[in-house]
Amino acid sequence: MITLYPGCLIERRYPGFEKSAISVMKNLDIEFSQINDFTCCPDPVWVRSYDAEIWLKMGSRNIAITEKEGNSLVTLCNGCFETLNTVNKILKNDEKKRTLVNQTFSEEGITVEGKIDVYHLLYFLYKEIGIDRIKEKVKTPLEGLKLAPHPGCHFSRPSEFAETDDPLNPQILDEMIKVLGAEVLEYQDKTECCGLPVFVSDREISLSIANNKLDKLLETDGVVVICPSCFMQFENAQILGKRENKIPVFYYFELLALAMGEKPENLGLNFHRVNVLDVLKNKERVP
Amino acid sequence: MKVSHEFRKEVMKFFEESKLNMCYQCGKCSSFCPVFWQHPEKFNPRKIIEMASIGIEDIIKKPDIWRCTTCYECVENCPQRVSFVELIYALRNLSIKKGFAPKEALDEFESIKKYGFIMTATDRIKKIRQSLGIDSEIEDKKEIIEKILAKTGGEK
Repeated sequence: MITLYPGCLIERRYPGFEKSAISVMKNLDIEFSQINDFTCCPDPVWVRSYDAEIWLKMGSRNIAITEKEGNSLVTLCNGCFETLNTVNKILKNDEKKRTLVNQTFSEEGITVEGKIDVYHLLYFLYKEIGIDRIKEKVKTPLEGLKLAPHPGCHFSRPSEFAETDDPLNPQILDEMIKVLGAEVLEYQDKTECCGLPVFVSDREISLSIANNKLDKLLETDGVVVICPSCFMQFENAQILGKRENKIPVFYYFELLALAMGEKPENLGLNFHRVNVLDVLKNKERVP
Repeated sequence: MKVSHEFRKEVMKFFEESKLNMCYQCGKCSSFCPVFWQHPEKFNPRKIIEMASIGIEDIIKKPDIWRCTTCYECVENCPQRVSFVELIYALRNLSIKKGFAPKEALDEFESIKKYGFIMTATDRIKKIRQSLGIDSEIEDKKEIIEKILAKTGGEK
């Protein structure tokens, strides 16, 4: 049994991503619970920048709630994964910080030890469910699609905490795209950042990083992300930059849900701001 | 530029001295930094570590420290495993405490104080959630954040 943690951006801006993840989990008979008591993970960039102690405490509260359930926590976003996984490990290994957190929550009767496992759904599927079982469930393979993986920074970095994929040469997303029946585009700087974390503080830097990456992906049918922040950045950069030949941006679990036979209208694919339906229609993936 | 021993001590409250002292200024952090590649005049990790470790307080008044994407390429490639990103968080925390941070750095936290999340769920999003058949009773969690703030030195 796992507890699903959708996170702000998915719950409140990209609900289709939550639906895709739920659709995939149901298809794989993964039992999960959803808790209404969570707050923002909180954001590893701007909350930790604001006050690292508040970041630790907010994150610890989310960990404490999950610990009480006795489940593993599964996130749908690299940022949520970074915060919740790091906080969980800090609580487990740093007695001083664990005591500070438990003092803060003592009146509410909340105690936390940092003893849960925190996963990104991609890693949970890869590690705990396994490629073979996923392959069995692929009913309508996405043959003919050439896709560029963008695993994003915080899925595997910092490796000291993430402990998932190779931080400098990640391969898990590539493998998971191949399971869909699609072709993977090898390209330079796959590990490079999308640039979103500096969008509010220096838009010029942020967009130049995103565009530098997108310029390398012109020969694809789409870029595949596993994080709603990367998704937002790649859509925004193309719309703000008035890019002529726009590159579709897919959230991995949308594609997996489609390959498992889910109908596109049930996933909210029509809410993408950079059209993805045309490329899927051309490849006869949607009617 | 003034060297301040006091400032150096303040940095150390957030960031262990032993970690900072591991840096021997080889510059590999900068050579792997996607911001430095494209905007070397705006952001240079090696230089930020140098200034922080000497104790030059001006560093927390500059826009540079707000230009790190926290991608951790520098940390993964550092031969001494100095966590430049942790240093950036320490410098940003200090910059905010001392009132030098740009307004944009505070905006998101204002939303978190208001909603408990980066944003609230609009009626449009609630309708979309309903149409997709997922839970549309989405609540904000302002009071939880207020409690945590009250026990962490509160309002800043």
